[in-house]
Amino acid sequence: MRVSPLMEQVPAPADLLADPHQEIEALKRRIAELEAETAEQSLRLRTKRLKLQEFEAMVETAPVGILVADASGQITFGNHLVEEMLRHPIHFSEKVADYHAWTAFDQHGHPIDPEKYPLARVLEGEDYSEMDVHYQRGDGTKFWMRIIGRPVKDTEGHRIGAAVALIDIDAERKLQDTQRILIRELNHRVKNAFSVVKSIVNQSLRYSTVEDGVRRTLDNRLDAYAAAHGRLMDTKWQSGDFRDVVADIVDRVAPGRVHYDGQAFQVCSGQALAFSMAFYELATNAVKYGSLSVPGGRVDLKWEIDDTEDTPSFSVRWQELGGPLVVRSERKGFGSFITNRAIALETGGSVEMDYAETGVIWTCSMPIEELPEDE
Amino acid sequence: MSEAMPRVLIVEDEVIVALDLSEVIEERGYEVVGPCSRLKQAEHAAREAQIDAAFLDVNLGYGATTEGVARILRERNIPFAFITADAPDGVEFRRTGEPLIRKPASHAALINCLEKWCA
Repeated sequence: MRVSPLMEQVPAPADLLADPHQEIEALKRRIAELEAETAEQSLRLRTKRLKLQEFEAMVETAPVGILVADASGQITFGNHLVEEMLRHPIHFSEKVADYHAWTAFDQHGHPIDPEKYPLARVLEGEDYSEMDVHYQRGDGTKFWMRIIGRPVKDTEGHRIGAAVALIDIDAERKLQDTQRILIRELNHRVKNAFSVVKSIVNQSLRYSTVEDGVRRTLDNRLDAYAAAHGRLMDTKWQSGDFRDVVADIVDRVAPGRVHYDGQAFQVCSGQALAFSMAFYELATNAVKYGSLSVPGGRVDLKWEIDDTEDTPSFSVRWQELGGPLVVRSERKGFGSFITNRAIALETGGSVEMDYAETGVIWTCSMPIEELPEDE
Repeated sequence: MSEAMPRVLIVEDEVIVALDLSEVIEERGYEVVGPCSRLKQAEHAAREAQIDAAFLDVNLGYGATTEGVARILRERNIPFAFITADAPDGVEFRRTGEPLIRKPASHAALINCLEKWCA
């Protein structure tokens, strides 16, 4: 036990003899001082104890399990929720290597390595560590749990241990799983719906007098629409890159003959579908009657973003080159409805068809609108 | 290939599509085995039936896939193609060289495969 320094200041007996009266007074003062100091210390101690009690109450009311380890990895503290959640007594593991007593597994069912636990990682120097584990409780049941680790530091900022919070995320995980299965099933159904529609058309027209060309056109139009849908589904229905929309169609209808290039640009799902159908019509038309109907003919397809104006716009230009002399078509079929009115309506822009003698030029200019936020 | 009609197994969970594919293939002079719309049925046919080729729809709904059917066909050295509405790189168990036809399947693509296998 350390001796208090106050005792050393007590005068030696030889001095007492000099003026006993005075010395007695001095001693009395010292005793009074000592008493005051002791009172102060015990008050400080009481406050500390109160603080500790407050802290313990806090830890015990927190809706998460809490574990604390010292710098050596020894688990020194855990709140009651740890035991409630895990349904086994707290393992006061002596070191990180002993953490295998905790029965957590990854999503593939492999046990978590002791040194991979957030507690161990933070002790190793990480400032934050998070991990979702499938935990096998004491009674054998399993649940999903999130472990979040942070360092414990002393007043000088030195790392003296680590603490982890254990959170039950089982309900959340189950909900996510259900949602994933639902979305997958929905996508599967929607994708198959196109195949079913095509088969219905095929079967319906099979023994009818409808000419084969009509059946094929119908078939191909449905294919183009389905391809665009498929692409959007791959991107979770939010939007599609314009280049992909173009490539999906023209590389299929006229591989290598449409030269396309332009900036990266995201179109919303409705516009992606509208452009897909329009490019399908333009491309098949070019193959049948336009520049792609002769060897050496081609199409230049360019697009760009113009953000110099107050309202930025996006413009696309389809130009046929090296084809036969263009004959203006007055026919207003499904194709021209798609390349003109449908696109204009869907994009809020303007469409122009120029029957230049050297080749058809189709242009579309649309205002750029903010895409809906990704969730 | 012998004088007998080549026999083609079709696995597809959408009944209308399955029947349509069957007709297209039969019209070209092949004999259709199935079509099977359920996994158990398909695996049984792949293992037991006398077949020369197969078309496998990848997803049979509710998470069931034709991965196991493909494995049996590989063991028996029977040529087959996957049919899927998913992105081509989404079929994890497809091996290089195994054809994949994107849904809706074009009749030409089916016939191309058959002609190559049964030439």
